[in-house]
Amino acid sequence: MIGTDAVLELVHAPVGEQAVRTADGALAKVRAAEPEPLLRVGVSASSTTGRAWLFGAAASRTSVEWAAVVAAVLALDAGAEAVAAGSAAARTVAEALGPPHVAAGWCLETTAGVVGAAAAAARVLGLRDKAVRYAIGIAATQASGLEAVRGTQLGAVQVARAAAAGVEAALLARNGFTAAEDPLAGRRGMYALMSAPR
Amino acid sequence: MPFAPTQVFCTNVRKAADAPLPDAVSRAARRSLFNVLGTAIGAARTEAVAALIATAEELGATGAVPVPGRRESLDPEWAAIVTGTAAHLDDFDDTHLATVIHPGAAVLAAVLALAPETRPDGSAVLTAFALGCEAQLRIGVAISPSHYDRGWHITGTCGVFGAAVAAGYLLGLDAERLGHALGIASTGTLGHREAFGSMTKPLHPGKAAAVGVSAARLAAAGLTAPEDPLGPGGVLPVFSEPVYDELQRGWDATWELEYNAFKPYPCGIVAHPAIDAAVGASPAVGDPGAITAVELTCHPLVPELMGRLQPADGLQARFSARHAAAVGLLDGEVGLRQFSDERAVEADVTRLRALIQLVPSPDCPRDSATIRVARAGAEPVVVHVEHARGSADRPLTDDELFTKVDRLVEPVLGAGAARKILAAVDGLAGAPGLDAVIEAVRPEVAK
Repeated sequence: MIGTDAVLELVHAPVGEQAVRTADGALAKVRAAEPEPLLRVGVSASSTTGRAWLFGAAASRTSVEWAAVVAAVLALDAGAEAVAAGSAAARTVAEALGPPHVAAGWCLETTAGVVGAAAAAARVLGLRDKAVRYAIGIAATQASGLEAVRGTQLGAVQVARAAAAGVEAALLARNGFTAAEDPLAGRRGMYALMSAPR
Repeated sequence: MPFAPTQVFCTNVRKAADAPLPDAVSRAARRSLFNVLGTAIGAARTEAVAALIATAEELGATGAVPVPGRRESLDPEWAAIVTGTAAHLDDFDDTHLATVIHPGAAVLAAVLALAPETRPDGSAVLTAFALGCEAQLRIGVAISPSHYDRGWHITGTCGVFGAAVAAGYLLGLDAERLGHALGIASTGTLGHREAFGSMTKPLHPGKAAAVGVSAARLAAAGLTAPEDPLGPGGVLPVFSEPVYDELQRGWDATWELEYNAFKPYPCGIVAHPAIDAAVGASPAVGDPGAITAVELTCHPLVPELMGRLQPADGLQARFSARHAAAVGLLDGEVGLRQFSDERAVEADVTRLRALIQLVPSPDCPRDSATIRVARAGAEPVVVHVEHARGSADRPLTDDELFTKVDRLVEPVLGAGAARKILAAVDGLAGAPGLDAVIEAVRPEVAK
């Protein structure tokens, strides 16, 4: 059983050299990409969350892994270590969700992705203790996105939304906004609702 | 296509949009709107709302959209988040009892967010609000009760659809584009019940509003979603075992919105009959010091869900039927003040709570209760409540609703504000726009 704490610990954990190199490559790819014009509708390019949305829309046109995480980090002007940490968090959540999650119709890239994006943002913002927990909680309750639209224009929207929600979650937590204590492994938390066989 | 719930659903929404609202629906919409403006204003000065506004300002998200009870104007997205969250914050907003959806919060937030740029007249505001609530409730009915029972906060998950419909109506989407808006919204559903007890619970309708508005905008700009997002290939079977017939039902008979109920007290609804009984007994009781014992006969869910004996703060007090009955007896009214951190621990309340015995009875209906207050040297006071105020059989009267909203908004906007809000909401059908409502729900500019 992978608990909420296992993900929280990854936020400030050291990251390996290989992971940083991979993250550097991902950052370069997304920097070079552009969002489709349609996905700019109603988005404020001047705010950090708006930028996260646009980078997310751009990232979804590349082949990078955990596009929402990469986009969140770019929006915060941070670098590869945060991408690596956020990706590790996303991978851990993905592992905990397991095959029933995707079989039910959810898109891991955005469900685990929004949590990873919040983890990366929490690292960049230097959140500690409860604020990290709440950032993850604010993001987890918003985990959404459907496998069926992955790779389409709408698929880019859900990645963009996950990137923005991840950044927003960390900013909200920094300002004292609270969330569940055990948002991932709790009785009515993300894992129970989104991966338990029905 | 023989089976396309989304197509039928959106065609019905458009048909309802193009006809005048039936009188009963219009009344339900106005009452819901009045109530949810009241709860949004009542929560405007809370810590959670302050944290949201601080974040919005950090992001530079100021704009032209007013926020009820606040001086700030934000951009549409953040105004939607703040208003939707504030409206649900005290769990005092409208409740559709069959689904436990609070439909008004996300829809109010979506309508206010788009009003400055779409300039709807008053009647279009009411229609947008009614359509958004109704769409949300019908989708909720199709996946109830198993969806909520599994642990989803249905106010968030269905809220995105309600907000998308209200926003889509204001943006003038036809049935086909509305279907795409619902499809876009279906990729942004949110709300786990694990968040209950934290600020994130009310954030659900706030974010649902923002997701719905964004979905409608994208659909208006031409973004498409896979066909039939409310059908078997969409998100609903991921949530529950949907009853698709509910989505295809005509909108010509009774609307679900007509069953929207208003809580008279800001705590769990199961304790409301007991509070009614306590408030009813209060004038006859006299000196509270003479009370020797209180026996409260109630439905078994009361001690199960609200069994806390001595709460330590206001939030805990909301989960204590004994607290609710004690303040009802002592104060003769039960509003936000009775659930403040201070009132939760005052000596007279603490003493009386300890004297209250909950007597759960399987024969007691959920909307009934009996209180028996034993007094030294006097006859006991006994009050029986057949149907609690705010229940299906005993809806809140217009006067009671007014009193509720008045008490919510008076501390924020001052005396007389509720009267102005009610007049503006009741006058919407013939109003040129939303201006009178906006003026009534905002604090006066500092003199």
